[in-house]
Amino acid sequence: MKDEPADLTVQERAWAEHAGQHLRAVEGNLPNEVTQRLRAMRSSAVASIEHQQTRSAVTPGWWSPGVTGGVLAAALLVFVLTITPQSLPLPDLDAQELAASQDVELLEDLEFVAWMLAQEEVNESRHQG
Amino acid sequence: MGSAVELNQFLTKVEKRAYFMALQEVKNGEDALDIVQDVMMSLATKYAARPAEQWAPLFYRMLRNRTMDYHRKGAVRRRWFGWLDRAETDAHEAIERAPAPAMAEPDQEHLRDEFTDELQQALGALPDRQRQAFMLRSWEGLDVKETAAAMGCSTGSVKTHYSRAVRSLRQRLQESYGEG
Repeated sequence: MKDEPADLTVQERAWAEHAGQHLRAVEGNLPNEVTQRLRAMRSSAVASIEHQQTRSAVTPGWWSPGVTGGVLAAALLVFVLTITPQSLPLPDLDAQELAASQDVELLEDLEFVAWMLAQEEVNESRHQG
Repeated sequence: MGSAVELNQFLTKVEKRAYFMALQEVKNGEDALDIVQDVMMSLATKYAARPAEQWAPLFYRMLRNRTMDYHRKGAVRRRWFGWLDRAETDAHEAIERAPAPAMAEPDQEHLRDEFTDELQQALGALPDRQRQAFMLRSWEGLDVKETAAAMGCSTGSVKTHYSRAVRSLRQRLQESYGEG
């Protein structure tokens, strides 16, 4: 088989054409049920292309679900980036927590003043010494 | 994008042939219909934008891929439930039993039916690639280049598969029908 030519002879081509005609004739023998189902499938496929064409007439050709997702993601990113810390609402603190935080600040101030006074005394003693 | 009218014309032309080809491959009427439906929808939804002259190779390429998938996925199922397949080939048998188109001579009609039956059986016995090449070239009428695109191989391979198929079929049928 390996050495046989790939090109068919005239008789072989004629026979192949003859066989093809027989096979095409069989197509007319399909049962009605199968024919009807094939017709329904075809209608469904054609309807899908009509639906696509209607949709593409409404939206630009380059528009797709991916583009929609990308635009939404970009809008969300811009929204997040433009929200600065100042514009964020402060958390609500109850009075006790607020008072406690003020106490801490006052205590820290007093400690700072005490440290400053101590440093001044140290400096004075150095100058005198 | 190809128009709906063009697509309808194309599918009308190929639908029955595609069904027979799928049936030849999967030996199951329902599965053959499912495969054809899947291929029709894929062509319409994914490839309708291609030029209409590319539809035939694309369509038959998808048909071939679907039948290969069918064989891959169904190997185990058919091993265990093979007896079901027999019941599901009713459509195929109905086709074989259905009368042929009217012909001039009853004797010739009888011979023609027998020849076609034998041809279909011989086709079923061919290696896959030879069968595909023969069906696409002789039955569907695709040229060598289109057949190569549909089969996913070179034009040289198509010529080789096709010539072997023709010689094998001719030899087998000549034994019964002479020059046919």
